[in-house]
Amino acid sequence: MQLVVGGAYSGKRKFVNRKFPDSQWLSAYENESLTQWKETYITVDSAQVIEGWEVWIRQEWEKARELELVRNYFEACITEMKQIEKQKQQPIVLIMLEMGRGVVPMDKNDRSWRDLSGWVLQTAAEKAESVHYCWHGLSRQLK
Amino acid sequence: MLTFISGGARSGKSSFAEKLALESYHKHKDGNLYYFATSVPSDEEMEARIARHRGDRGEEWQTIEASLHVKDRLCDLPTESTVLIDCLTVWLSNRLYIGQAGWETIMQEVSGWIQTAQARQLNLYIVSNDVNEGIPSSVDSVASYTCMLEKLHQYIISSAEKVYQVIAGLPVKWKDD
Repeated sequence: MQLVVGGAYSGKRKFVNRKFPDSQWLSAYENESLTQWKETYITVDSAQVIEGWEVWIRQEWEKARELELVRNYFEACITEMKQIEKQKQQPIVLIMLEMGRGVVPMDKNDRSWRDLSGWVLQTAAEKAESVHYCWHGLSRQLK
Repeated sequence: MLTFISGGARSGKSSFAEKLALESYHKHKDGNLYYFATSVPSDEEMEARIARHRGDRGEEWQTIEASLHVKDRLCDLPTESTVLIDCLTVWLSNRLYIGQAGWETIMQEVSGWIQTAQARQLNLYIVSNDVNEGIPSSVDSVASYTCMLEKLHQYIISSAEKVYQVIAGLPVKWKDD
């Protein structure tokens, strides 16, 4: 499992497209659901890119409104991805947004959203074999 | 020579950029040292702050007001001069909200800075701010501003010889051609 992290519009997609030109994408920005990942990954024989985590995190938060519940849901999801990737031998690439570097949000829901995104990001970085950070179109390997 | 420097708020990016520009000026004694000020003094407090900054920078520096038109100012400078533009985020908002410029005009203008600097052998230092690593804005104009700024960063970086990210006053080198 590989993780690519960076701020908004920092060149994460371009980086992943260059590294995995023939990958298939599951994207929250295309209104796709995270629950679809296993189905597409198992049926198609290529690298699987999964992006838009902050959107799915926000959606789960709106549904559950319970930090631990949402956090556990995403951690379980990432753990399962890693297990299935081992069997299938095609890379799973997670693209995640760095969104923790601004001022503490006034709104409680925004704070929870930001906290959850940071925790999920840490879990992904811990589980991933490689982590790349994108900054203004450049990239650097952190792990 | 083009150098791009960015970082978070109060990360020490301006001081670092000033230090680099001053070193460049001492190396290129035929040219002058310019500070291109992008802020528009809006009230007394702002004017006082600008005056204080100007005093802090030292007598080597000449300050040029460049809140909207940078390229025209660059064309007037003696070759081999060193120019520090601080900062891109302020200039972009001036250009968008005071100058009412569209995206293509803005890209052309910035590309003009880089071409002029190359043609006149200027040592150009551009300072900007990392504003894209916070919580995504739900306001469309803020999101599109961030997107534009990122495109400018990537464009400038592709032409830059040196690129630094400043964290807690410490420079992290990202590019050195």
